[in-house]
Amino acid sequence: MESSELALRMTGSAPEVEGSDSAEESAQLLKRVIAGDSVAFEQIILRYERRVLMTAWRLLGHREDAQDAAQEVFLRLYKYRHHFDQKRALLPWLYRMTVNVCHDVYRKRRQEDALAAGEMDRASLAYDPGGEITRSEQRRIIEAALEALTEKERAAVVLRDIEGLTTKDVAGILGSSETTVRSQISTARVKIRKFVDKLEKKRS
Amino acid sequence: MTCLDFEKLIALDAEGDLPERKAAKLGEHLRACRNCQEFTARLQASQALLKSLAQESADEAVLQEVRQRVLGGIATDAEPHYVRAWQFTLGAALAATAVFVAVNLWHPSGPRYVARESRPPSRERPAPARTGGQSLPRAERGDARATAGETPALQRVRETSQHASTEAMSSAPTVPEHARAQTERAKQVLRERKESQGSLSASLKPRAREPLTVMLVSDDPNVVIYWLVD
Repeated sequence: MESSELALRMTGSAPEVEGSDSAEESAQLLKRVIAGDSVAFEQIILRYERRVLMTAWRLLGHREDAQDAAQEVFLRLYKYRHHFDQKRALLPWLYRMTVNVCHDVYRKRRQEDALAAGEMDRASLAYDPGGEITRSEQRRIIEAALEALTEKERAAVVLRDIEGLTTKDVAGILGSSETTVRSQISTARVKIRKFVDKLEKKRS
Repeated sequence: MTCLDFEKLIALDAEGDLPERKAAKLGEHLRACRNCQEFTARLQASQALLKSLAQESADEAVLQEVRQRVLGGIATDAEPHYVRAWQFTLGAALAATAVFVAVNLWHPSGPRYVARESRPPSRERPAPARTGGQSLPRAERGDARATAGETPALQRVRETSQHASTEAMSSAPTVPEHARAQTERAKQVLRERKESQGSLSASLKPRAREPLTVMLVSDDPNVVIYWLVD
């Protein structure tokens, strides 16, 4: 977790959702990538690496796993570039691939060790009883709350609340209906709130 | 609806995901329920904390590491493809060269085709469809490995005799004049050969010779006579 803190920094602004101009530029870059232009592929990486990595980080909770996942996402993009439907936007495809890759990583990791156990304890340690809750402690609590969610709830809330996508976009990325996504989002938000409530009760 | 049911509506309403009809219903409940009002405030606080995660980003070093791994992965992925293609091309070229050399240098038992240079340029009657004369141009090159010391006529007879059995059944019938001339020429060559063998046989050791076969073609294209000479 310390390495995660060191590797994170505040940008001061939320990532902007891709506009139509940006999507058009991405489509042009993708055409060049398909034509074999490796410089264009590097530009695509530069354009989307932050979103992909941070989304993976939120979904997995570990920097190294997130790096592996982001690497896999871009390698898949390169591998399947000839099969990519150029009429579709690149960013939703990247999000969908990120969620899929993270699902594979998460499932593999869950088989290796029991993750859920002890999350509450780790979050409790983040609190300094009687002291002010620092921002890094708050972030740790939220991260622990995210890890306590189910995989689908976490994906829905990360894409909707952190990445700032619309419910419709999230439904398209996750391959679910908007009703399902709304249900997952509301459940996740309530769970996060109650997770924080439990910690506050312990603290008091 | 209970307060637990309204909690989910509150969670949706916090980010504007609640349809208007349900939002109005929730508003009515919130005006009357103090617990749900408190829960709304707490949920908005946790939502603010959750959304603040969007302001965080990874260090450039972390991003650069991923970028380098991706670009490195593409490079190593692409390299074997080119190497494989190059190796395949080289292997195919070597194999083709080996086959070419083997075909052109390996002659196990002399000429494969019989020269029929005694055939007249024009035929008296049209040849049947199953003619076997396609090998003539190649046979004109002769055989560099033919027995040394033999006269050209003897070579022709020997070549004709060695392959008569395979060529005769598929070849077109020749005209009687040509057949007779060929037979006479063959008999003469054999006589000369016997005479020369007789003079030398006393001083030379006998050597193994292949039986000589002479093909005689009659007027009837279906009748072919073979003459085996020891």
